[in-house]
Amino acid sequence: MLRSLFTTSVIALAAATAASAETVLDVTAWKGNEAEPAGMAEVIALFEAANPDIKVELTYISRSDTDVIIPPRLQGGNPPDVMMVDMPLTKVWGDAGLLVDWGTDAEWYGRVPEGLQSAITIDGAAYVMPLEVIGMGLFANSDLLAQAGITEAPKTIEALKAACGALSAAGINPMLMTSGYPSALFTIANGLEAATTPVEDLGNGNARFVDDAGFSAALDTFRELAAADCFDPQQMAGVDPWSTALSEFQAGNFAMLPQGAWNIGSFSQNPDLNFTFGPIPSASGAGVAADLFGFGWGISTGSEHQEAAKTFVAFWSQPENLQILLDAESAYSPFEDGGSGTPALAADYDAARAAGGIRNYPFSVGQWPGALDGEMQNAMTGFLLNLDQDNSDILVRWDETVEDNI
Amino acid sequence: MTKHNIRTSIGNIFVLLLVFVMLVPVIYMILMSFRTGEEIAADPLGMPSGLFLGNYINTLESMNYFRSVANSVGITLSVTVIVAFVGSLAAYPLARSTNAWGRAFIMLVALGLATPAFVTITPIYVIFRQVGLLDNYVGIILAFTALNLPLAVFFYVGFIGAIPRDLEEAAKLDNCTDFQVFWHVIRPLLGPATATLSLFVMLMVWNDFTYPLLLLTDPDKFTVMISVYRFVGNHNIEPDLLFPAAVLGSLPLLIIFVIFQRRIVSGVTAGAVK
Repeated sequence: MLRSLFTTSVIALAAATAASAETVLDVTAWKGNEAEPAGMAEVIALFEAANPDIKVELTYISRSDTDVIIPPRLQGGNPPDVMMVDMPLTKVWGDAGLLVDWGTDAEWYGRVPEGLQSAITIDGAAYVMPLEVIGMGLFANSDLLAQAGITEAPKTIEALKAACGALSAAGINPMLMTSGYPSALFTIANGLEAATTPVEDLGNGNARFVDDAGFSAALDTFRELAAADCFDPQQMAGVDPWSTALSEFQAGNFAMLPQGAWNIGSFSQNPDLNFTFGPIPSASGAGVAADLFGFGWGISTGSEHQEAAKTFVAFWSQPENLQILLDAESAYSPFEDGGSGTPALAADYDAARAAGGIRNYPFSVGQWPGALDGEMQNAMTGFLLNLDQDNSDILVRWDETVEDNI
Repeated sequence: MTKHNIRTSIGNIFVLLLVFVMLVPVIYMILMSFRTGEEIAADPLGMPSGLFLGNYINTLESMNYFRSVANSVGITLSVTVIVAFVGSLAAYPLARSTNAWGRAFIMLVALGLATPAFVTITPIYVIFRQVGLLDNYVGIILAFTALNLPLAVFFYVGFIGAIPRDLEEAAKLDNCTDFQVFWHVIRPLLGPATATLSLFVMLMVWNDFTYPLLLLTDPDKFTVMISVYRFVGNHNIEPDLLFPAAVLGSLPLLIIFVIFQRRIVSGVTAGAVK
């Protein structure tokens, strides 16, 4: 109540000051609409209240449409002042000189942990100020697990197989291991944990997937899960990962689903769904916490309001402001002094991170080419349709995709 | 019941089933628009327990509906009228042309049909910025007109080619100019074709959000599809807002289609029976 009152007051104050605003910042983002508000409106209202001479006009453009809408604006010399970017976009636009380099002496840069620092730095330049790191793991329906006599979500492959057996015996659908993203995520997470070569080498051609025993073992594990009745591979090949799978889990029709923590908010809309979010079960240890560096702010070199844009971006780097986004997204701060927005139901994922189970998703930190992401998802769909495929056939295709996109 | 009647009845039932299957997504959209987010989350395929209108009220408040519908109607009708007029005007001489240049030009126009949108999007943006047509109703109308003209010209060339030349010659004997022949003789005969073309153009313009999103930046000028777009996320949707928004977004076009249904259907079937 108090928070709503405060926010309303801030918005009203911002509206009152907008009349005297001198600078209008054109900001584009794939967050901030009704479906994924991400606390954008609240933070912008706070920013406008703190900077009455700057007004922010936020335009929502989905991630896939960003590839279509923003390049013409960049090429036409009329770019947004501030753009939401991820690492693939940062790499392309940064290399083309379209993004402002903050320099590694920027105040916020020093607060980014070393691992992420190296990921967001391209040839010594810092083009993107990160906003969040978000987890990708295993959603588990606690009530369905309990019905099968399972007290906690599985964290190892053996525990997962045992859970699948118990759930199947109880007449419960164990797992949504659908085509595309969920099956690719599961395999990549297990492959990363067991990889025998440095992850970045697999993406730059210095090492090959086909020679890496870890990724071959991950495909074997996938096969074993199908044999353990975790999922019906033929059926899963036809399930859409971004609509049917989400609504089926949300409706309580399946016990487990590999997905991203960004779904915590929408799954929580079903008050009858009692669920947890944990790491991806793996061969050893406490599971894999597959961290995704989601997005950040980039400033266009063509912006006419670069100082105002920098003020805006720096405002987001302050822990108290960023926390609003992290809470809305159930994400982690990319800064050492930042907090976490994950709710209690993600305690297992938090524990896996604390236990050293973090594996950065290689696409989000620019270690693997973006084209490989699509190829891996397609390959896993094909694998669901024919689990008898030879591992090396699949892994060679991944290597070829890397070679084509280095 | 005769054998013929039984066969007809089975055929009718089969067609009705097909129609039902095609209407299932629309029916689903309408039914879901009356359910709360919690209801949809708990049972995605369930029926609404009542006509919950709160979704529509929330959606109308969030999407600036009437303004965006007015923008869409204005832009769509303007583009449709201009495309039909300019397209038919351009097609008339091309349809009557017998030389190689005319045929080559028609092929060139056909090439416009095969050009993917992402190829034209950057040039259109750059040119419009240079001539000051960004964030401007004229700009978006011109862009959609340019994108749809190849279809219109190609469409009309075939249709005008089937009109007997005798009608034009009779008009010319009465001292009509070429434009008068077009206006008083050819244009009235293009009614059914224009109705069909208008349907295609209207659907394309109404449903497109890429060009409005690129060329318009003032929220007051946004079209209804951009307003609906607010409810679609990268990884999820807000079903209690998206479904009513989709119903509201498609409603004006549905009303237009119902009004012009007879002309559109006659246009589609024109020439099928001689």
